[in-house]
Amino acid sequence: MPTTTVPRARPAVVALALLVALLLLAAGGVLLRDLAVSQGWLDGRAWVPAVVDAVGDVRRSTGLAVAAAAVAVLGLLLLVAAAGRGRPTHAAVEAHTETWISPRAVAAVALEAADRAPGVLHAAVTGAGRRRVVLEVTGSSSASTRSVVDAAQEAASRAVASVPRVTVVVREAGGAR
Amino acid sequence: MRRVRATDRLGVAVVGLLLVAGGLLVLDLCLEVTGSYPDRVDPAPVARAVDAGWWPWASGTGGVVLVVLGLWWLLARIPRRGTTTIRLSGSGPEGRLVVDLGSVADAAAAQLMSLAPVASARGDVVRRRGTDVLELRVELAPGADLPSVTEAAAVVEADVHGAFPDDDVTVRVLVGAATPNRRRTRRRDTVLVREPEVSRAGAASPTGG
Repeated sequence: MPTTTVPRARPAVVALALLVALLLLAAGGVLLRDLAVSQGWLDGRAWVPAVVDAVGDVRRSTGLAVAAAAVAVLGLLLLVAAAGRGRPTHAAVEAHTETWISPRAVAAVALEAADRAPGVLHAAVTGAGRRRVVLEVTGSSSASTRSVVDAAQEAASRAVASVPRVTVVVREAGGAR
Repeated sequence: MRRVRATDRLGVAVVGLLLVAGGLLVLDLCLEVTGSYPDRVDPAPVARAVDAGWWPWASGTGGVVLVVLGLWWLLARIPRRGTTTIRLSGSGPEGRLVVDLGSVADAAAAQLMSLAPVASARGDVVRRRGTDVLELRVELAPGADLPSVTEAAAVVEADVHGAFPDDDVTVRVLVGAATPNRRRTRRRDTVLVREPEVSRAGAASPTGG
């Protein structure tokens, strides 16, 4: 088995951190603006004292409780995202320790095998994931569904160690092709 | 980049904790789970602090700190494309032997492309667990068989291992697909058949094309 780590997509925390960094900048900007207003460098009213005044008008209510619960849940989601890893983008190719293959490439390999099965006129990938590959095959009346599935599944199993399930939707060619 | 990723996690976790704490505090004020509270929050203590003469300068200083922190955080995530070099064991007082791993990655990608039926190959250098990894991203050519790609990858891997026997540089090959939904081109043999021209000799002349 591979000794290196599984290739993974960028975790969600990276995008969230970008948002937090922008919020930090915005908060810093508000505080600096308040300083400028208090010193008469800018016209207007300081925002932080206005917020503190507004908090005094807030009363207990069901709406406030719901909003607080939503904020707490959002915080929990951020905590989960902070610890989360990116989803794996590739799977290990069997017998090759440092070669990894993407689900789309596995689907392409299965497609190639299905495409060459007897009676198949047209084949296309309609879904490619780590656990499932879906192919749509158009075949003549002589095309055997079992042989197409077997060919695609066998090709996928040769391509990757953790073999995805290959689903083949077979349509019979109607009329002239 | 690893330090930036750790900072990302720490920063998001701190914001998450603050939101959870704030949300639970307000929820407790509303539902009075841990005690009884007045119907209305009294902002007087905070208002007194905000109205004090020192507040604008204190908050302004905090603002500068937040802006500097936010800018550092933003700028730190801009990827730097520096040259990754390692010094070879043959270096000594008489001279240094340094190899540019980016060039090695490019060469390895070119070798893989020449050996395997791939539509494209791109080499990059990434650092993982203290080891420089030549990450080769290839796209399968339409109709390519995977075994020939994996065999070529093994050859490249062996060559790199031969060049860096101490295992301080390794290879990782990531195989992708050129197109996600390659539709088979209708293989159509077009044969132009003319109406048999009945010549005086009575010969027909079909023409293939």
